[in-house]
Amino acid sequence: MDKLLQSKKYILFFVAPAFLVFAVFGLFPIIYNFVLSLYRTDLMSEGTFVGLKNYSNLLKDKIFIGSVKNNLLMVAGSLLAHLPIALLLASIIFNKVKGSRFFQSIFFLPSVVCGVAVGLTWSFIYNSEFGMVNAILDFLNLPGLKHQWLSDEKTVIFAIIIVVMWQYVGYHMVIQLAAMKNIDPTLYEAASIDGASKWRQFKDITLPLIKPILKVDAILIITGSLKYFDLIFVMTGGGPNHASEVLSTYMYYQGFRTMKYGYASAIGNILLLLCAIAILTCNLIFGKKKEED
Amino acid sequence: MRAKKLLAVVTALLVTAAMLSGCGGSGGNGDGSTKDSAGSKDKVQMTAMFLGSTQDQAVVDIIQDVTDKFNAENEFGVEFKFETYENEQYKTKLTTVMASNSAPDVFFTWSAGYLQPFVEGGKVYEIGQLLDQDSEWKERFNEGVFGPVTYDGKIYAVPHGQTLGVMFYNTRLFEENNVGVPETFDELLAACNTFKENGITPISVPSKDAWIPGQLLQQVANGIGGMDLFEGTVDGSKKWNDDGYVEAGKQLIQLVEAGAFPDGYLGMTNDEGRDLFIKEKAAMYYMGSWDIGLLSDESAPVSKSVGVFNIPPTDSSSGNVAIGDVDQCLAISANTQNTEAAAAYIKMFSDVEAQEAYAYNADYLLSTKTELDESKLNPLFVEITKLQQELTGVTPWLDRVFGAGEGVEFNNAAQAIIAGKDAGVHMDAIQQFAEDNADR
Amino acid sequence: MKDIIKVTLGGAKYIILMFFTVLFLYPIFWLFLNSFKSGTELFETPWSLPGTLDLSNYVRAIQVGEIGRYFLNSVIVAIAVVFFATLLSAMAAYGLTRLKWKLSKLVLSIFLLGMMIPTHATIVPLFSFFNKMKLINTYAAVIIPHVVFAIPISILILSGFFSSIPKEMEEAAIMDGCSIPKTFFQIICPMAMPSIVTVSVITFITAWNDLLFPQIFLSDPKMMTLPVGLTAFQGRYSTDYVGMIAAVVITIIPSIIVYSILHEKIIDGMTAGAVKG
Repeated sequence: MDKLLQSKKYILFFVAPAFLVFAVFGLFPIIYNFVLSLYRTDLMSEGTFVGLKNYSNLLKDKIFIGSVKNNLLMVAGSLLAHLPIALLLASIIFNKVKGSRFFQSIFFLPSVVCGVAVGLTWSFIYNSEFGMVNAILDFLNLPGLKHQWLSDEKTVIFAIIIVVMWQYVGYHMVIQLAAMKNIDPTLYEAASIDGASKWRQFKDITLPLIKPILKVDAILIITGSLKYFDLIFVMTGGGPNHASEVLSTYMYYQGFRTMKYGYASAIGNILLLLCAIAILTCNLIFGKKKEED
Repeated sequence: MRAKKLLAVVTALLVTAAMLSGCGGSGGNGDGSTKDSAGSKDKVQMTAMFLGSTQDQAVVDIIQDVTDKFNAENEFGVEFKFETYENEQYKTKLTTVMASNSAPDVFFTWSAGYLQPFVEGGKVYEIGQLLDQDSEWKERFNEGVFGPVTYDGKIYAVPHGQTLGVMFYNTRLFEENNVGVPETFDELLAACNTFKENGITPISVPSKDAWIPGQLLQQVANGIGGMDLFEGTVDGSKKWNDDGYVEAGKQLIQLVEAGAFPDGYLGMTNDEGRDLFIKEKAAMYYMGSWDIGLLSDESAPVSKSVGVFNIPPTDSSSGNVAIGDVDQCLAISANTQNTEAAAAYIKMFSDVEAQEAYAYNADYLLSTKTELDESKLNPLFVEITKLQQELTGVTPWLDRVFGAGEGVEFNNAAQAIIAGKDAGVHMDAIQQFAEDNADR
Repeated sequence: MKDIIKVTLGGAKYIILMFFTVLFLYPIFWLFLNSFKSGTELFETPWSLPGTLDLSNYVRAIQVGEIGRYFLNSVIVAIAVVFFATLLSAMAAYGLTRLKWKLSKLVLSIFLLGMMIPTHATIVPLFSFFNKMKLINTYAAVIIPHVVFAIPISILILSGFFSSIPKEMEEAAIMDGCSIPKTFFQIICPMAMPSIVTVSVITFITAWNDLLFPQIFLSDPKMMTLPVGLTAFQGRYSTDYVGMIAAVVITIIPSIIVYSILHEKIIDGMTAGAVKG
């Protein structure tokens, strides 16, 4: 039987299609980018080899450093917002509330609304004159807290983090809820009989058993925050004055606008490096899957 | 069982979508942009790419008419197929096709710094050669319009329109508040104070898009350093943190402190800002001449009392300079198979019919000597043309001259200054960026 | 005393849920209200009820904006991406975790590398490539990149699930005379429904919302997807905000309907795994 499982024919049959597609259309561009980042080129004429100069230039580039900062803020903000809130909502719904189906649909809805539309709506909500946010602050008698949310360099990235949260918390909630529903209900029955409180059940049964999915979800959130593009491009274009610039928008700008493709590739590679670090960190914190069993 | 249900849902989804798309297909102009005429099998296909979305219908109509006419009448056996894209998408698309050597035969371009990288990359055909061979074609154009599309003494694109930056003002509000058209910058400042005291927003400058404060800063700089400052910036003899620009920045801040701009101007979009002027809530509005149509539309309250003037200089020795540029430039890509057919196609855009359409329908000032019937023209159009003739100099928008990079950074700096930040610091930042970017 | 706490906690749950419901729904409700307004009405009174129930924005969105066509294109692309990505990933995940070969760990790591790829960095090389293969302006040009980017995360989730299935399953099937592929498709996959559905949802959302690939790889406006179609409401100097809003509302409604229907399927699919043998 083992012989069957080792058969080369089957291994190729199962793995080759995905691997081929991935290698040709995924790996090749990455290698191309690595090579490109060592050049200075606009891709129209001969480029010049500059070695690691693009990277050393990046370290001196204030806009780049600002972008990294913004990305890190987004990662932190997203993790702090999405995971706990999604977990909270998922666990409430999991513990059987009336109308759970209704709530699930509503919470998931924002993630199917396109980034362009989300950007448009929230631009109006954040408007300093007639927007909802400032109107609510007025209502709560806190006019001092009013800001020009998307035009103030200090508040813009935080304003954007909240919009991302609005769009994707429900999506993460659905993922975690699915994991929760996978847990054998008899475990809960046994625990109830033993007199464990709901909180205890959550801590000792639910959390450990959905840990693998939480790890995946964390990876999704972090890599998503690092690569995030659409909403920022539509809402602020990286502005005002690069205050909401993130790595992906800056890479886009240096590539497709100033046509410094070598420099843009270098930015892309730094992004890749950050994603790698994030994934490794997640593995460390959440523990590797193999050790679980 | 489950599979069946899933299938049912997916089918329902597709049917709904198909129904909705069915409603659109026949009525809309979806077929418009990629029209094939009968007997197209024998003709050679050539491609063109233009800027324009359903919001720019007047221009798209011109393109459609020219293309139809060319396809029907040309002797090259060629048929043009064109595509139009929205602003941001267009820039990305053109850059991508240039980088991968698959540019269309004919394409729309902005002038100066936008086209320059493509020219230097060898991707643009030197259309000047064909212009020289066809003197009838070249003679159509006004003097000087080829300047912004000439590189190293050679012409690489053909401009079909012009635009000018002007200060639109509400003649009725000016009269009612006893304000005259300002002739110096100080008078402008005083006018702002008067309006402010009487509860009217002086100038509508919606600053969400950085290019809008950018053009204002540039015009104020024009009034300080004139053509000298501009030309010096272009040839590199003057830096971005030149006194002229820093001074201009400080004057912009003077306007901010005088309360010249509407509440919430920093986050205001272009459309909102225009709306403010249209509803007569703002006395002045600094914008390009392309807005004539919207401002003089019958439904606009302001349409009965719109006038124009050029923002006056601070230092009269700088002359009467305004921001202006050529527009609707078309170029031929270097890898085209048939330069003559492409040139003939482009030539039709400066035919009388097309030029008239640009003027009457799309509100572009002309780059050609075409005679226009004043009675068919928007009165504002006539006023702006007169204004243009009184100018001593014209400076294209800096973000066009310098393209992405410094051009965009200039706009960003202007946006920061109009938000009250230090002018010197931000002009220094542009200079720093320019130096860094040269090395990347 | 305990009862009071119970009731309060129960009430608190609902308050939290209602709070988030309002938070999530309000902007969408706002879109719906404003789809009936004219452009200037939008700027003057963005938060009030519309003056009249004017449907002209919708007419414009459908006819001029061709929202129906863009919606259809988005659906075609998203469904194709989900189908291919899920199929290929499930097969690969199975091959990597259940079949025995030396390089399996290495290959798995290579796949996971894909999660770090910044998608926009691949545009230029992919464009060149597709151009040479004459694939530009075909659905394939948009489907392939999305499949590629969906594979790593899908394999991660699915391989997690597959490694937890007891080996006895396959042994039993093979004893009964099933070939490995047959075992995979008819026994393992149905068991993996929860993970497969999760993976499909993730893939679908990413493909549905993407703006950049369709924008660059498609040139025929008839093939553009929804996000691109929405940007077309932006002109060179003015934007048709209310038209865009009407277009968005049109596309949200089917999404809501489909999600409500599929939603039962998703939950059923997910709970099926709860009673594992």
